Amino acid sequence: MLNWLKDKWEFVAAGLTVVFVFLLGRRGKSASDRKTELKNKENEIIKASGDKELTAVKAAGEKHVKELKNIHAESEQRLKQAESDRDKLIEEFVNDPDAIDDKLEEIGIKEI
Amino acid sequence: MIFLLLSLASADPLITKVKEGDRAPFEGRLFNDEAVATVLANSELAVQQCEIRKDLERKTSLADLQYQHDIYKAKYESLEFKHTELMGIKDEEIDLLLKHSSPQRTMWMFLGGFTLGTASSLATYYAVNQISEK
Repeated sequence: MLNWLKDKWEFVAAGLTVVFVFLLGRRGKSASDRKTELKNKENEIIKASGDKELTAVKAAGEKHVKELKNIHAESEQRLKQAESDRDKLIEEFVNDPDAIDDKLEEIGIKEI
Repeated sequence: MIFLLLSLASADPLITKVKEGDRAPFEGRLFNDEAVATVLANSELAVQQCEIRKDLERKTSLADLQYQHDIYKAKYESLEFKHTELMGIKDEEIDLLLKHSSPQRTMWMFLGGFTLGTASSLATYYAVNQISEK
């Protein structure tokens, strides 16, 4: 065996060099694979963050529109109620002239 | 008396009750009860309308501010998430790079290269000697 190694030492040296270079390359490849994996993960995170923001902005917009609708509906209802109250007040004043006098006095119109 | 009433009429808002056929004590407009009631009730309504409008403006402004706040919150949370996650990845990347370029590794590479170079020089020397002996 030793004699064979001595005899064919060129092939042995070449073989060892090939194995050594192969191992170095393999290690480099695994590092590159890991780097690619990390870059892909990075891209996924950026995309997920964008999606998250979009979803939240969309939800905020929907909430805002709903709230504005509610506010306007409430105002409309209050306006209708105020108009209805006004009609009732007219009726009350017409049926109770003393109330008219009290109101006039309240707003500073003197009766002579 | 009439003069006095006229002078009062030009200074302050006045009202007096009259019956059909009475003489009016001063110049002006004669409203029946329905008209006065309408004027008074409409003034009340105007106050209420003003109040409702004020509330509407206030609530709309609050809703707008809340909307802006929600948008900024969404952006902040998204950025925070992105930052935390990316920092984790960057740390991993730094560890990976450090692992592949650590001083210890460089030293081993140097020693390996030196040994290999020396060995190949000796081998060449041996080979040349062998050839010359033959």
